[in-house]
Amino acid sequence: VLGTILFGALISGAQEMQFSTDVPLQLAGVLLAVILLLVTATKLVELIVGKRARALAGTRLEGGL
Amino acid sequence: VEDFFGSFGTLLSSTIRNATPLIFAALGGMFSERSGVVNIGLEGLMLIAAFAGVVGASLSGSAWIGLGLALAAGLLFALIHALMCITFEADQIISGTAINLLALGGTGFLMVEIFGSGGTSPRVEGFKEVPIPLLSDIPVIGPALFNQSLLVYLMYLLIPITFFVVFRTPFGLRLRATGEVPEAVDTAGVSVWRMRYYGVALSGLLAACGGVYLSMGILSAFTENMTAGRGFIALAALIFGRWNPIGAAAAALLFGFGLAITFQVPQEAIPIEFIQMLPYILTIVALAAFGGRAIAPAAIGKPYRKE
Repeated sequence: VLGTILFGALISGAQEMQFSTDVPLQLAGVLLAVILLLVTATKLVELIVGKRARALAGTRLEGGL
Repeated sequence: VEDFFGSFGTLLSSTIRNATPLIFAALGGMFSERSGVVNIGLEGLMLIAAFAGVVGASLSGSAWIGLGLALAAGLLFALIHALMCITFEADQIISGTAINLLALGGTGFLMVEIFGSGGTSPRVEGFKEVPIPLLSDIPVIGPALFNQSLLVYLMYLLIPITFFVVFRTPFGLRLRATGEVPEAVDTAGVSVWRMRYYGVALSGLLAACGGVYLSMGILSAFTENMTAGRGFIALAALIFGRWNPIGAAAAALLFGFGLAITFQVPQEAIPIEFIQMLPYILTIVALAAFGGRAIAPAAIGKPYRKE
């Protein structure tokens, strides 16, 4: 439900954005596609989260924890 | 009698023109799905290639440079789909949907940026009809089949070539095995990932041919969302044709006929909106009637993770 609200807000916000700033409406579609691609790529998320976790662990070790 | 043959020739010619992008995309989809990767992004691949072709032709003045740019764009987007589905194990349906959204939004946005307004692009140099000597002189069917653009002749050649490659070569055997039992392919020392990348890349190139034919073979201009569901119809043709190039081409011809008839039926007799529904209704009916019996490659849609 939260995801659909986000996408709904994105689409309706894009119309408002086009009226007020002349930024094309289609840009919302591009953004939506990029979000979908990144959210579904589980291994990519694992990779990023893993890297962050490793970096965090490294910082803690350096700090003597 | 002359009128009847004239109408039949026009309908046949229109069927070939409408079926060509569907056949290209269905053949492309077959390579991808035979390797085990669902490609519902065919629609987006066609759309982005149709746009890139027009941009290339508009900037260079050459239809061939347009075709080159379209192939590059189709390949790039297919590789994005492959990267997401194969390497990053994303859901293949969602990745395909994202490719479609990206193509729709991206082409709409770039239309304004490059041509200054949305809607329809300026006319560009397209692919003209090239009559084949002697064959194009055959009464009725000659002009319909052999007075077409070079991309149509390429499509004629690609159907048997694809059949040969998929069913008679070691590459085809590996590709089909990758879509059925990837573990066995891996055990035999063949990279499953590489085979799947090849399948998806080929689908991008072929779908791009279909897209570029739409914008530069039929229209000589790009119109926003000009594919109008043709990628999905090609996917239906692929399922209806049971993942076989000849079956898929025959099904695409049937759907092409459905599209062609929308331009031939007199509008006074039946409301135009109803006629325009015809190809999509035909697709639903064909899938409902025969889609259930079609057996998809066993490993389709499943990401492969090496043990």
